[in-house]
Amino acid sequence: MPIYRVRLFATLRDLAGREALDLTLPADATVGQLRAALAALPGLQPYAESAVIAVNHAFTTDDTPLTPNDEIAAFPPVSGG
Amino acid sequence: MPEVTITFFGALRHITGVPRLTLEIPAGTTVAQLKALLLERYPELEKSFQGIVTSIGEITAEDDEVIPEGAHIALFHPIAGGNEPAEPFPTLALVTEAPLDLNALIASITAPTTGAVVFFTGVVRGRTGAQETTYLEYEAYREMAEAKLHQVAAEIRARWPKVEGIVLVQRIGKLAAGTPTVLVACAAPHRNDGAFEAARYGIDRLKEIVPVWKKEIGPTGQHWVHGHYHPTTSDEHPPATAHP
Repeated sequence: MPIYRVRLFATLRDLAGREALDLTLPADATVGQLRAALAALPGLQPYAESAVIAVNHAFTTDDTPLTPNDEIAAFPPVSGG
Repeated sequence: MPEVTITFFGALRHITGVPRLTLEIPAGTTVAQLKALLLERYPELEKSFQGIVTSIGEITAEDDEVIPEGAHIALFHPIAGGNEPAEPFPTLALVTEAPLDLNALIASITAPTTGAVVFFTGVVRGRTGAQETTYLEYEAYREMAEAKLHQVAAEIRARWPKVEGIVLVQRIGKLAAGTPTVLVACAAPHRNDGAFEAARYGIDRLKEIVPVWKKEIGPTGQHWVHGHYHPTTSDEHPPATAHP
C-alpha cells in the first residue's frame, strides 16, 4: 500500500514530536481515512478529529481523494492575526 | 548631492524588488538621465520601460525635464482605455520574521490615484483580564499561508472593486507584548470606496483561513491558542458579492 506523508503544525507537531508522519493507506484513500489513521496514533486522538487537513495548500472535506504525491498537512484551526 | 525618492508600480516593482528607493543624483539630472541610472542598477527594467510614464509630484514629466531636489518621482504604466489599469494595483501578501514597518508598508501600496488607506494592525496584548502574556510565539505553514494571504486579497478585490493596493502581512517568531503582529491595509481613491469594510474583511478572513498559529507564553506557563473556524472546500472559492 502507498505511503502518504503528512506535515504537522503547532499542537499536532508538538504531540507527535515530529514535523511529518508517513502513513500507509490504500491507493484510493480519502482525507477521512487519513484523519482516522492520525486519530489512531497515541496522543493525537482528540486533535486529529478536529484538525484541518489541507491538500496541496487547499482545504478539504473528508471525502476529498488523496494521492501519495500530494502535499498533505494537518493542523489545528488557525489562530494568526 | 540632491536626494530624490522614486516609487515603482506594477511590473516595475517586481523587477526592483522594492517599492521605493531614495537616490542621490547630480544637480540638473533629467528624467531621461534618471532612467539611465535606474537601468544601470536594474538592467531587467529595460523590457518594462516601453511606454512607461514618469511623474514628479503627481504631475507627468517629460524625458528632458530636470528633476528638482527632494522630488517624489513615480514610475508606472499608463491607464489603458476606460478605467482598467494597465498594471494591477500592488498586493503585498507575505509572512515575515522582520519587524513590521507600518509606514513603509502603507507607502508601498499608495498609488498616484490613492486618496485613502485604511489599515488594521494587531498587537500582542500583555494582559487579558488577570492573565499576563510575556510574549507570543507565532508559527506558520509558510507556503500555504502566503497562498491564502493572496486568496484573501483576491476575495477583497472581488467584493470591493474600487480597492487599489492591498497589504496582508503576518509577522511570525517570538513577539513581545506591545509588538505589532499583523498588518492589513487597503488603499482606495476615497474613504467611502470600501476601504474600511475591505480591511475589516481582510483581518477577519485572515483569522479564518491563513495557517498561522500562536503559542502564548506567560509567567505561569505556555499554551497553544486554537482558532474556532473549520475551513472546507467551499472556502477555496467563496461566493463574492460586490460591495460599493
